[in-house]
Amino acid sequence: MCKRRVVIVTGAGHGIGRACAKRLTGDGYQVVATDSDACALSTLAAETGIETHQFDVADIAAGHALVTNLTRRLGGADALVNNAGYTERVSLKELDTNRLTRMLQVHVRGPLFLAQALACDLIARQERGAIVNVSSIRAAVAEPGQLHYCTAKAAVSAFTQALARELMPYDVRVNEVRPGLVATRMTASARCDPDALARRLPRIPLSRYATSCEVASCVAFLLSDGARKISGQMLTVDGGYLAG
Amino acid sequence: MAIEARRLGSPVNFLSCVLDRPAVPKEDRVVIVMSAGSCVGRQIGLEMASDTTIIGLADTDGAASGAAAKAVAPVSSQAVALEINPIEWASMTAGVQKLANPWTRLDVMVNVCHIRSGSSLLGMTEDEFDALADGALTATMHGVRAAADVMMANGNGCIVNVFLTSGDHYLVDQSLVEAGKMLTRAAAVELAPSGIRVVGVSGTYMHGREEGVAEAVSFLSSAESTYVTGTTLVVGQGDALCASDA
Repeated sequence: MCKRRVVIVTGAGHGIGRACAKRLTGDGYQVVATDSDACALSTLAAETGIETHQFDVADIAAGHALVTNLTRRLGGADALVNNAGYTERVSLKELDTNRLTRMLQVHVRGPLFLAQALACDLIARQERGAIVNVSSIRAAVAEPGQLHYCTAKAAVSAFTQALARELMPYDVRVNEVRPGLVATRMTASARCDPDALARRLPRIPLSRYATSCEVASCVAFLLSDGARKISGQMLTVDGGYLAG
Repeated sequence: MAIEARRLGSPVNFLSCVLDRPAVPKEDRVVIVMSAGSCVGRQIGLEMASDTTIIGLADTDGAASGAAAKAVAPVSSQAVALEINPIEWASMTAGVQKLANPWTRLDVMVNVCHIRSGSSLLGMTEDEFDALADGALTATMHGVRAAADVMMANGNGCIVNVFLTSGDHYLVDQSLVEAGKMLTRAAAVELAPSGIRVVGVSGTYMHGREEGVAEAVSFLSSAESTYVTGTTLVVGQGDALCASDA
C-alpha cells in the first residue's frame, strides 16, 4: 500500500497556513503543522488531530531536526508549504537592523534552509516532491512602512525560481503562491478601519478580501499531480489587485 | 444578489462578502472550448467534458469539432460540435449563442491560441504578421467579448485564455503572448464588477504537455480558484528560467 503523502505546513496556527493544513488533510495528506504559537497549535491539534511541532521557522536547526524526525518515523516528508510569516508597519526612520534581520530570517533564511533540508532528504531517498512558497503582492507593489516586508517577499519569489531550477533534475517542483489581501489576523486592523478599507477595496477588482481557503486551494493545486508540469512558476491569488 | 453583496465593502457585511461564493457545481456548467479539434484544445475539451454536462467543442474546421464531440461522448452526454471561426465576430457570436441560448447561460469559455510563426521578424511578411496577430489577439478578444455578453446577464462566469508557443522564442510569438497576457489582465479588471473572472494559461506546446495545460485550465475555471483573476499561470518546468541558456 502506498504511504500517505506527508506535507509540512509552516505558520499553520493561523490564517492561510491553518487553512492549508485543513485543506491538505482533507485531500488525504498526512499534515505536519508547525508554528511558533504553541497555543494556536494546540487548538488546531484539538480540532483536527493534525500532528503539530512548535518552533520558530527562523530556527534552522529545529527545521532540520523536524525533517530528520519525519524521515525516521514516517519515511520522510514529500512536500512543504513555506507559509510562516508576519508583517509590521515601520517607517524607514524606525527601521533598524534587528527588524530587517528578523524579517529576512522568518521569510527567507528559515524557509530556504527548510527547503534545503527537505530537498536533500528527497534526493537521498530518490523520491519526487513539491514545495510551495507563499509570498505576497507586496513583492511586486510596495506599501509605505513595509520596506523590509516587501524586500523579504521579493526574495521569496526569487529563491522560488532559483530553487526550482536547481531541483528540476530531481523531480522536486517549487512554485510560488502570491496572495493579495486575505481576511486573516494580519489584515484585521485594516479591515476594521472603515477609512483603510475604503482605500483598499477599490484597488481590488473583485471588491473583497480573499478567504484563507481560497489561497489554500491554490496551494493544494500546485502541490497536486495536476500541476506536475508546473515548476518555477507563480500563481497570483489577488482578486485582480496586480492587474488593476 | 450575491454579486451585489460582494461589491459592498463595509466591515459590517464583510463576512457576507467573503462567504457568498455559491460555487456552480461542475456538473451544471455550460462550457465552450475553442480550437477543440486538435492538440491542446482537444485535450482541454476531454478534461472539461469529464465533469461538465453541457460542453461546446468549437473549431474552425467543422469536421474536427465533430470528431472532438464524438471523442468526448463516452464522458459527456451533451457534447455539441460548433463550427466557429474566431477571427470572424459574426461567426464567434453566433457559435457562442447557439450553445448558450437554450440554457440561457455560459459558465466557462476557453480561448485557445497556438502562436507558431516559425520564423524571425526579419523573415516575416506583413500578411504573415497580421495572420498571427489575428489568430492570437483578435480571436481571443472576440471570444472574451462574446462570452462576456452572455455571462454578464447571469453575473458570473470564467474566461480562460490559453496562449501556446513553439518554444523557439521568436520575437513575434513572445510579443503576442505578452500582449495576450495584458488582454487577459485588462479584461479581468473590466469584467470583475460583473462577477466574471478572466485568467490565462501560457506555455510551450510540446507533445506530452497537453494534460498539464488542460489540468491548469480545469483548475483555474473551477470553484477552487474563485479569487484568481487577471493573472496568467505558466505551465512549464522553468522554461522561462532556462531561456537564457538557449
